[in-house]
Amino acid sequence: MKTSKRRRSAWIVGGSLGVLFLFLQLFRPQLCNPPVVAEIAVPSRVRDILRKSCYDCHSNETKLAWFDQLAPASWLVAHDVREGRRYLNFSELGELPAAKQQGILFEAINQIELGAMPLRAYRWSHPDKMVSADDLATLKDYLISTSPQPIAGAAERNATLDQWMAWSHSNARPEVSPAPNGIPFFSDYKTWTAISTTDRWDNQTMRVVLGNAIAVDAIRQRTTNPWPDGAAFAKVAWAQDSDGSGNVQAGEFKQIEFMVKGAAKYADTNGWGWARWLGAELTPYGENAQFTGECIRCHTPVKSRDFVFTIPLETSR
Amino acid sequence: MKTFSRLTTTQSLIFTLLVLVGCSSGSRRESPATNQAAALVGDLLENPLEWNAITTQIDRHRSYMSTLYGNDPALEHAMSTDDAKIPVDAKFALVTWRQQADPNWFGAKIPGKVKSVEMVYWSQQPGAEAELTYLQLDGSPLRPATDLTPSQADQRQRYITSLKAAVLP
Repeated sequence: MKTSKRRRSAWIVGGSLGVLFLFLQLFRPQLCNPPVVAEIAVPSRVRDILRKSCYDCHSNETKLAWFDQLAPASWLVAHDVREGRRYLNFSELGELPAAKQQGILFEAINQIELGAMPLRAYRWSHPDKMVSADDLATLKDYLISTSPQPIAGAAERNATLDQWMAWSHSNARPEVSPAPNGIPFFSDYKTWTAISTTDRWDNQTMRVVLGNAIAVDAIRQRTTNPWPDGAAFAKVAWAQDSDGSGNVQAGEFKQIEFMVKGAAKYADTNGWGWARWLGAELTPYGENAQFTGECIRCHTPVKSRDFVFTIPLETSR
Repeated sequence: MKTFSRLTTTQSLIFTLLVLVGCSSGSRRESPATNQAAALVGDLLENPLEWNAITTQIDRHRSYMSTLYGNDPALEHAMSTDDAKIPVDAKFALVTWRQQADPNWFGAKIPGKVKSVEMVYWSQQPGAEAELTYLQLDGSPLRPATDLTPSQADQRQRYITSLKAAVLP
């Protein structure tokens, strides 16, 4: 008696869920494949890997599996594809300058290597789309083989010298506008401590990362995950001036980027305030406050390090 | 029977949870909190890493990267013209590391094991005038270099004090 009652309830619950499932299928998200504008220009061995593991979300050639098309999963899939295309679309990249395409590919491969991409749910539901160790090696070899090591010509050397003369001979500080998200320029950053230097051979820049007193103290105390409120970093980038014999000097100043920690204050942007100023004129980067989306997406693979890429030097003995 | 089925349900829940936790923690390689490989240890009287970073350079062929550090008078000197005299209290240190791949960014190299620290500073013997001194420390831990000729030392001293500061607007 008891068993049959339970069986009936199971049928009712199961049936209702089935009806609900069918009803949900009426609400199919709009997801189409717009024409391919200009596909990224890479050799076929590289394109095949991107097609297999990235194109479903990052191109206009999305191929959905049957189970991707069933609601409610289809809604998540449609959302991921829209977001994926907005951030990186391999069907449109070909229009950009070669150096820019190369930079985007470097970021994509870092997202793969650090485990952020493809998304975990996608890897789990599409095991055949995983990026294998061999695939990753192929992608890296391609980027290494195509990374230019330009030699600084007279134009670059003169630009560096002109910038240096103007800077070293002037006591006037430029008036610096705040970043579009309201973060003011940290005018005391030059008194901070250098916590590392980086040779970014992927985009031919060299960088020094400076930390303020709170950040340096946190490094000494080993309290860097999470970083304490008020910790701030400045990442300064210069062009690489190479003389053609393998000697590279810091050349023209390119940009300065800041991260300032405020777990509550900057809760909407992962606990950090983000800002970037370009050129010796220190022009704020970004048209509006949404520019921080770029910073966060790039730093997300190091979420487990409280979003900080830099591995600081031990500045105290 | 009922107890058994409840037990298996609980077990499978725990199992699923463990798998999920395992996936999330195992999918990311952990990089170190600080770069201990590049730490300066040995016969250093002062820690130049606490001074101003003046400029930075790379030796591609030998995969070295160097940063010139200096106190405020040294920075001031690196911002002045070629004929400027070196201030009497200036201290410079050119720290050179072997490069290592950045575990957090394919496309970047960061300092690895330290190769040398070259110091340039003023020293004064009793009854004599202060003179600019060059001291080279090699290896890890850092020890004073023994096979350095006076002309090599003079050449390196001139080179280090001739380096210009990288622009920091």
